Amino acid sequence: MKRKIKKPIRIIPVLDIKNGVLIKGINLEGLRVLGIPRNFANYYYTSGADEIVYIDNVATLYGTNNLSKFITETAKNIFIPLSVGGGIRTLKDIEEMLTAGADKVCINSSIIDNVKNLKIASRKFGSSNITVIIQSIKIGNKYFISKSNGRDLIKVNPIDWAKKVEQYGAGEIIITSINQEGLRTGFDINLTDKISKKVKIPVIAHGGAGNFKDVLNVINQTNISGVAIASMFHYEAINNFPKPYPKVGNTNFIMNYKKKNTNNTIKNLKIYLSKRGIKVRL
Amino acid sequence: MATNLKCKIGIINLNVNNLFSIYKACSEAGYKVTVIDNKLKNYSYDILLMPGVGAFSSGINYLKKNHIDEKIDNYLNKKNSFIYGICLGMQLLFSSSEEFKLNRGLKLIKGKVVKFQNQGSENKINIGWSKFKVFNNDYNKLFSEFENKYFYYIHSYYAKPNLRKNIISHSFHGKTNFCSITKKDNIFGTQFHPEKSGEAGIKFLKKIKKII
Repeated sequence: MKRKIKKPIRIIPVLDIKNGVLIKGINLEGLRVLGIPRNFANYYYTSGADEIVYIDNVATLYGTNNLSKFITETAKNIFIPLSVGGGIRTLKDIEEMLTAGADKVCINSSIIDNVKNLKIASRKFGSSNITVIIQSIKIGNKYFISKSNGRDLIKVNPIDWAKKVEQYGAGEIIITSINQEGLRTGFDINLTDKISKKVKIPVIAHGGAGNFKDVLNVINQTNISGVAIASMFHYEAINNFPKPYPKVGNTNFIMNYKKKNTNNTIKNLKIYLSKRGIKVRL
Repeated sequence: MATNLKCKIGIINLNVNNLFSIYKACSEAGYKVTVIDNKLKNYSYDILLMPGVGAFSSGINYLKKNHIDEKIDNYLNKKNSFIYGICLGMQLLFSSSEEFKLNRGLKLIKGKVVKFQNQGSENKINIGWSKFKVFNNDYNKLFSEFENKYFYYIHSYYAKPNLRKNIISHSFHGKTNFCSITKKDNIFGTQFHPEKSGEAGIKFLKKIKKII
């Protein structure tokens, strides 16, 4: 199948944050500490990321209080777009994030609660700066959306929801498959494809990248504008940072981690895609 | 300008924007950067920079409410003045915009700001990396080195200058060929975000001091 989108596909590393440290879980639960977000952000910037997404996983539950400080620190040395999400509920939250160094904000829960908030935000800040995250959960053959990383299931179909958030002014959609998240067994191509063809705003696929082939498949079989990847890049990036490691959260993994090169760098992925006819920014 | 002095940039605070990004990128490019306090009466910078995130109407209303539009006019009447608008900041330089409802701009360059219409298979919002092509030959020497580089764009409206000579470069989105760099005398704008365009962007920012 020939891709219709002519722009280079955006390769977007995702930083999941809790209490200021980079974490990673499986199906967004069972979190382990991987390191300091700033280190990862700088590394991804220099290795050719097209954008970075920064999500504070627990901000929805506890509020955004410390988020700005961490964002400023993360954004300091990177000169590519930074999208920030997690716990953003009010116009003031959005303004705070942009002032701290975010270029776009990602919202989910607050617009599930009241979709009119999306219209208000996109009017004030411009549609293109508001990204909507759709967390999809598949149970049997049925799809649902969720907020707070799957803790609350909402009986709405992700495709219908995508159409709705587009109407209410979303500039972009990140479709996160909670089922695939962290498993590294490939993307939910079926759902991603349907959404990417249903809306006229950019769609980013997220959740499931295990190897370069997975990424190639989701690009070739859908109409997405970008791919968001966490684990696959993190477990390569982690080899590049010296101690000390952060002292918060579950650090067992990182303390006992032995270096293991996977060659899963952003640059290598881009070269791989480019050789297979996919346009990338190299 | 004496080479041993740093070129001074004053950033207009539109209150809805990525001030931090533009601040650090300009510093990285070697400028002496100040974020302008809205109470300041007179501008005296080598470059006045108008960043832009947000909607046209919010931007122009904010400028008018804080009398920044008048201060920009006064500044531009002085010798050695130069204004650079980025993204929405570029769009605000024009006469009018059809964003949400018809809005009047700063009218520094004749033209209007319009919405991307049917783009076929492409999205109605242009988000991502694109190249530009220099359209005005007078600027070939200056900008052609960037033609093979990608720059970052994020917008659903674009500027249409009335005069061809105000179009310095073109970029493509879907079926639309739009003006991505504009210039009229000491008024300059780019639709792309150099501050978000990696190393190429920093290099582009360094180049600005050659055209002031």
